[in-house]
Amino acid sequence: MVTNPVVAVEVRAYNVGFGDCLLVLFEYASGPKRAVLIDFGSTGRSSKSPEKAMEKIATEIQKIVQEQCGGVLHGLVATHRHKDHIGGFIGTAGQIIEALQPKVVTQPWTEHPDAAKDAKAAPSEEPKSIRAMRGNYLRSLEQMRGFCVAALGQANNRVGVVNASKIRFLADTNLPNKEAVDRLQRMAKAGKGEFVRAGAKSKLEGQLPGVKVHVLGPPDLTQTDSILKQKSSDKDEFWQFLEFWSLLQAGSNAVPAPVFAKAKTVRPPRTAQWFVNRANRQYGNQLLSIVRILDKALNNTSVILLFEVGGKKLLFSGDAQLENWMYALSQPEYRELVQGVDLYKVGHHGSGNATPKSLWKLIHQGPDGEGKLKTVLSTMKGKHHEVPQPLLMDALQAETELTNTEGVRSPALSAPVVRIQI
Amino acid sequence: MLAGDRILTANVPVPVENLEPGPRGYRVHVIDYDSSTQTMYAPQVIAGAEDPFAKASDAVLLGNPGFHAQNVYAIVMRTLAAFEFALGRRVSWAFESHQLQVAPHAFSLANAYYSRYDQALFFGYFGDDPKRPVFTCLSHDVVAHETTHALLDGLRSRYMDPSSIDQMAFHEGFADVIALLSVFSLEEVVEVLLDPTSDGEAKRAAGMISLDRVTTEALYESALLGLGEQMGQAIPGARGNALRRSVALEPRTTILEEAEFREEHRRGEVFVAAMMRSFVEVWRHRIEQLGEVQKGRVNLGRVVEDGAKAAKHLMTMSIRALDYCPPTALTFSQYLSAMLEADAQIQPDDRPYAYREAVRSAFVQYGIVPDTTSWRIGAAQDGRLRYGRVHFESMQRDEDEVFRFIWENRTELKLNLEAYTKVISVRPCIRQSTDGFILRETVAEYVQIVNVTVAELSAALGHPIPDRRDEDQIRLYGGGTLIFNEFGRLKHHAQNPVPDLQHNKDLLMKLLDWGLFDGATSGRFSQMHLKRAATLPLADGMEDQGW
Ligand SMILES: [Zn+2]
Ligand SMILES: [Zn+2]
Repeated sequence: MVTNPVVAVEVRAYNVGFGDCLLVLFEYASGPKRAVLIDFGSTGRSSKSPEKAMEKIATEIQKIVQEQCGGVLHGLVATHRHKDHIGGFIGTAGQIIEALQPKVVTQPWTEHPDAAKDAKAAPSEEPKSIRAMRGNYLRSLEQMRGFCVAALGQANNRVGVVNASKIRFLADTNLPNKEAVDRLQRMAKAGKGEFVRAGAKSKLEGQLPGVKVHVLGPPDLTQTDSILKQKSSDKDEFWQFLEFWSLLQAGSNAVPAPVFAKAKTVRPPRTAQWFVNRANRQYGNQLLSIVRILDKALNNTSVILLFEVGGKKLLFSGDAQLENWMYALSQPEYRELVQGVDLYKVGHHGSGNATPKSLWKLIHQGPDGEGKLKTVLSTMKGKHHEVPQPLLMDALQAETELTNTEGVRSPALSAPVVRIQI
Repeated sequence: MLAGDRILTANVPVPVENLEPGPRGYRVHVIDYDSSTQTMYAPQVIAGAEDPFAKASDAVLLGNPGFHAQNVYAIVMRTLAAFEFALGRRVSWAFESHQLQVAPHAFSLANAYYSRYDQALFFGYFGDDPKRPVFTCLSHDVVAHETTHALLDGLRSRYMDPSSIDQMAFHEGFADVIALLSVFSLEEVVEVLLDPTSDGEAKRAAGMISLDRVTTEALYESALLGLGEQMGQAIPGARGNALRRSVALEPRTTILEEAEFREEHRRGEVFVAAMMRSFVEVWRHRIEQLGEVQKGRVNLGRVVEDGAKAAKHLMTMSIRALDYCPPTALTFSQYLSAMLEADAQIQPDDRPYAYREAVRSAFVQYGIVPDTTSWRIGAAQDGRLRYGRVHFESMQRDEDEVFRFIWENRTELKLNLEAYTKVISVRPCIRQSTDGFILRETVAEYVQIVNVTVAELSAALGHPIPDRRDEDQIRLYGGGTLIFNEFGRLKHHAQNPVPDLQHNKDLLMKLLDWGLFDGATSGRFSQMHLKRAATLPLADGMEDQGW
C-alpha cells in the first residue's frame, strides 16, 4: 500500500518558439509536488532576444519549483542534443536551471562523455564488433556535427535563397552547442547523471515514489543489431552508413581549399554562367539533404520515457523517429506498455516519421469521449521541412484532446497545463 | 580505375570532332566548376589527335584537372557512341539542349548523378585525405553509369514515373549493366582482372591460360567479383556494394517475390545479376570454341579479346532492346522479350555464340521468363490495320501523323479512350548486324495517362490508400511502342494499357502494395545513392509506417 500516492500529474508545455520545454509535476496526496523538466531548448523564434524569453521561462520554472516543490528539481531530462531541446542551457537561463541542482540528470547513452573512447563504459558482454560499431557510430555523429559547421559556412544565397535559409535553420539546430553540453555534463556530475538506453533502470524512479519509469529508447547498437533483419545485406548497409559519414569528414572544413592548388583558374566564361548558377543550387540541395539526414540521426538518439503511475501512462519521446522506435516496437513488452497511453507528447514536433503508424495504432487505443487520449504538441509551421505532418495533425485534432503550444502568445506565464487525474 | 594502387588507363576511341576548350563538342560540354570552393578551372584545350597525357605519370594524371576533363568527355562520348551504334540513329538528350553539361569536380561530396532539370552530370570528389581525394569522374564505371541514366532518360522519358515496380528498379539496374559491360569491353581491364600479375603486352602475347581458370565459376570469381572489389573503392556505399552484391546473388526463381527484393535498389541488383550471368555464359561459349594451344591451355590474348567482344555485343543487345520496350510500366519479363525479339530481327541465327540462349537461361534462373504477350503484328492483324489516310514519308518523323495513324486504328490498337494520349517520339533508324545486314525501322512511342482521385481508386479496390487524402489525384500510366518496317507497315506493338479501375483490380492492388501511389518517384538520382549510403537500414516489417 502506498502511503502517499500520486493524485495527479500536470504537464506544462512552454511555447519556446520551435522546440521542447515541458515541466512535469507529480502531485502527491500530501506534501510538496515533485518536478521533472524534460528539455529546455528553443530555436526559430522571431523575437529579437530569444535568450531573454528563455530566461523568463527559467524564472517561471524556478518559481514553481520553489513554491510547489519545496525548492527541489527532482529530475532533468535532456532527450537529445539538438538546440531546440537543450539550447536554453546557456547564459542566465542556463544558470538559473543549474542553480536548481537537479537530483537526476537523464541523457541518452550517446552523450556519455567516455562512450566514444572508453570501451569499459560499455557493457562487458558486448562483442568486439559491436564495440567497434559503437565507436564508429559516435564518431559519425561527431563528424556530422563537423559537417554542419561546414554547411553553415556555405549557406549563402549562391546556393539558393530557400536552400540557404533551410540549411541555416537545420545546421544551427545541429551545431555542437558547446556551452549547453558542458553545463549538462556539469549538472550530471553534480547530481546523479545517467546515460540510458532502452531497458535501462532509470534513477528517476528513486526520485518519484509511486511512479514507474520505463526507458524505451534509444536502443544501443547491440539492440539495433539484434533487430536488423538477419541477412548480411542489412549489416552491410550499416557499415556503409558509417563509412559514408567518415568520408564526409574531409568535406567538413568550413571553406575547403581548391583541390588543384596549382591549376590555372579563370572567371566562368559566358557559356558557363547558366550552368554555374544551377550547379551552385544543386550543391545547396546536396548540403541540405545531408544536413537533413544528420538532423534525423541526432533525433534518433532521443530518450523515450514512459511514466506509469496509478494505472495511467504518460509517454515522452523527444524527437525519436522511426529508427529509434524500431527497437521498442519490436519488443512485445514495450508494445504492451504503450498500448492505450493517457498522455502522449507528440514526437518530433509532429513529423510523420516520429509517430510511426504502428505506434499510433497502439497508443491510440484508449476510450473516446471522457478520458480520451491527451496529446501535447510543440511545433511551429514552416520551420522544419517535415513538421507538422498534415495527416497526423488531422488525426490529432479529430481523435485526441490536443494541446498545441503554437499560437500560445505570452510564453512564460500562460503555459497550457494538461492535467491527468490519477 | 585502380589496379592495386596503380591507375589503370585504357585508350578509348571517340567520334572525331574539332573541340572548343572545355572540352566542348557537339554533344557534351565539360564545365570544370567546383561549387564547394567556387573555383572555375581553365577549360581544357585539346588540339590534334595526340593524347597529351599518353605518357603522363599517375601523379600528373591525378593532379591535373585538364586530364579529368578530357577523361570524362571521352567516357561520355564513348557511351553515347555505343548507344548510337546500337540504335542506328542519333540519340537525343531528354532536355532541349543538344549539349549535355558535365562537371567533373562539381563539389566536395561523395555523390555523382544525372539531373535532367540542370541538363547535366555532376561528379563529386571526397576522401579522408584532402591531399588525395577520390575523384568519381576518374572512374570509368561511375561516368558510364551516370551517362546511361541521361541516355535512357532521353530514350524513355517516362521510365522515371512510378508505373511498375520493375521499372523503378530498371533505371538503376540498366545503368549498372551498361557501366559494367562498358568496362568489360576494355581489353586492358579484362586482362588485368584475369591475370593481375601480368605486366603488359609482351607477356600477354606469349601468354596462355589454363582451362580451369576459364570455367564459368572461375570467370565469375576473377572477373566479376574482382571488378566488384575494385569498384567498391570508387564511390562509398551504394554502387560498389551493389555490384558486389549483385554478383553474389545466388540464382533462384523466387527471388523477386522475396520481401527484400521488392525494394527498388535490391530489385535492380537482380537484373544486374541476370545480365552478368548472361555475360559470363556467352564468354564461356566463346572460349569453348577456341582451340587449345597446349593441352589444357588456351591463348590468354584470345580469351581477353573474346571477353571484350562478348561484353560489347551484349551491350549492343541490351541497348537495342529499349526500342522494343513499352514506354511505361516496364517489367523485367517484357524487357527480356524485347531483347530477344530485337536481336532476332537483326540476327535471325543465334549461332555460333548463342547470345540469346545465354540471356534467356540466365534470366530464367532468376525467375524472369519472357513475357507471353505477343507483340509481333501477325498477318491477320496487319490486314485489319488502316493505312489509307496516312503518309509513309511523314510517318517516319511526324508525331501528328503517327498520332493520326493511332487514332484511325484506336480500336485495333486497344487504346484507352478515356485517357489523355500523346505521341512522345518518332525515330527512324538504320541498324547494322555484326555481319553487315542492314535493318531499317521507325520507332514511335505514345503514352496514355488517366487521372483518378484517391477516393475513386479506394472505392474501386475496396481498400484505403495510405498517406493520401481523398481528393488527391493519382496518375495511372499506360502506352505503347510502335515499330514500323521499311515499308511503313506496323510490325511490333509493345503496349501496357492504362490499368482499368474495374477490370485490372489485381494489377492496381499490386501497385498499391508496392507503394507506387505514394507520390514519390524514383527519378531523383541525386537523392537515390545518397540516401542509401547515408541512412540507417530499417528492420523487418518497418517499411510501411508513413502517414
Ligand atoms: Zn526538436
Ligand atoms: Zn531534434
